[in-house]
Amino acid sequence: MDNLEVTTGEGWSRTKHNGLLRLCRSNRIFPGPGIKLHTVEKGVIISADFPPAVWEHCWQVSLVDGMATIIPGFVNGRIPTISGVPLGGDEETKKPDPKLRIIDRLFNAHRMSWICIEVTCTEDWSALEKAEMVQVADISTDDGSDGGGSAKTDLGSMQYPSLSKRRSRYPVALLRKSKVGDVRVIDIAHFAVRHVAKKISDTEARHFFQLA
Amino acid sequence: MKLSARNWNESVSLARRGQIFAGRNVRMQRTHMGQCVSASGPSEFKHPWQLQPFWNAELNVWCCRVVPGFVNGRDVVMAMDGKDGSEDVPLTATTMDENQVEDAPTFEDADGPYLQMGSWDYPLAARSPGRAALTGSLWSFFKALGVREPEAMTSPMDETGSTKTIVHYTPESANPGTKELLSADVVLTGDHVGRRMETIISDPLSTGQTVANYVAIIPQISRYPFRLNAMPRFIQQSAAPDLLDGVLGSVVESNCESLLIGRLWLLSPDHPDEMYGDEGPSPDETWQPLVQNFVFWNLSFGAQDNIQRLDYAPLTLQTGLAGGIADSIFASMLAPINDANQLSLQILNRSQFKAFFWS
Repeated sequence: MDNLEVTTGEGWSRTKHNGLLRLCRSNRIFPGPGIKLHTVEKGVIISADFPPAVWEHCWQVSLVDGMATIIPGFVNGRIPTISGVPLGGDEETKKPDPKLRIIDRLFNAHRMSWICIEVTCTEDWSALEKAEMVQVADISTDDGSDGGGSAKTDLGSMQYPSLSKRRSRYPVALLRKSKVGDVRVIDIAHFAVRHVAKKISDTEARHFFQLA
Repeated sequence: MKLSARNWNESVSLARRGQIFAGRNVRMQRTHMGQCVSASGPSEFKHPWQLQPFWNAELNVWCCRVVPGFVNGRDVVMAMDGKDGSEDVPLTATTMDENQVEDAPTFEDADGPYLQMGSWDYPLAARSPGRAALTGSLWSFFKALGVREPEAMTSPMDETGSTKTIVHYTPESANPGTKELLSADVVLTGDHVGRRMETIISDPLSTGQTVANYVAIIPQISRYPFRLNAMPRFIQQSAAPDLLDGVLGSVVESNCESLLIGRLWLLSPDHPDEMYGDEGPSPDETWQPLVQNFVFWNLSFGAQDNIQRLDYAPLTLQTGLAGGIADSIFASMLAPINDANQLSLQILNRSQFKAFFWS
């Protein structure tokens, strides 16, 4: 295949012709795993699609049999709990890693649901009294049920909510259910967070969350 | 038919140029029918807001998907052309969400909504808004990829009709580059309440010394407060109104904030056939997309929501002279001073609703 070129006056042989055919044939490409070929007028576009990397980060949610496991993270240096057990389990009481049961009725009309950290502030709003993981159909309603207005997005309640009993919520994952019932998890939070409340009145505050 | 040696050698040369070799993150397997190309690179973490450009063969336009990002934990929408016109679609939506697809065990990001990148900035043109940014390491990067020298940047015409050259590049004859370059931006917009303040000081000779200070609240403009848009070039909004705006009596505070999410660059193939004007070329599927991401994590958003109340006590002079008649005279004399004081406080008050994105 190396000496396919000819000089002036030199006849091209069947061997050289077959060599050229082999060369052209060897140039044909076929898509393997992760490759998409798109033939256009001027050639072929090769696109590579790598599978997303698995990165076990804080607040990562995995669903198995309708139960959510959440990788522990910190909010103001505190690990949130599920039913009183901190994420990752409690070594002192020998309680295993708690799981959050995913409840069907806590999906809104658009088949969306959120897993949130629900923080409760102390009476002077200066610190956290507790932090729990909850599933809600609407981040902004007091009991987490579908508020009706929470469709594609919320209008008028786009900031972190100020709920009764000095609570607020920080969503860590969005659950989207298809019409056939599959639930897809989309991670929202990846790092430890810091919460600050700015008191407005005895019952209300503006809540801020940022990366710790 | 007689085939000349030159034609034959050109055919061989063409076939040789068509050979493919394994580059970075690609594995080639030679078979008797050709070569099988596989992706063998490390898996990448798809961070929020990551741009994923692709050529849409149906629409014949470059499009861009965005890995779902969130603002305050809420979905962000982008406008997509649907059957009933343009529709706001959440980033996390997939076609499988809306269609009855049986036996669909998994979801793919490739089903998500996408932006059509319909218009482009042509930063190689002298008058392009993005021309000024094509310097330093960014220009070195593109130059190494074979992009041709940009036109000299000029200022707008002055009174004499001539333009003044600000930056001049000397074309390098060694490797001048032949590729064209286009760019387009993906911008996140967040709506909030804005403010408009207008101060009118009436003519003291005709209508008396009257100072009117109007403050209007500009409402949110969008039903969905967080939205992604594609535009040729993002230009940062001006800063929040300052004291001078207050003194001039023309404070206008925008009711939306914008954040540059990412920039999509398109690199033309070698040896483009034509020369282009300021409009630039029209890219097709043979152009190479390059992505420049600016935001990597989900965002929070909040307006200052800062309305400062005025604690203003007007000047009074209560003397009781002349049976109290003098007090009303003093009050009318002090009224212009009180008006002026109140105006000063309004100006200095600087209540503002400016909002910020943060992570």
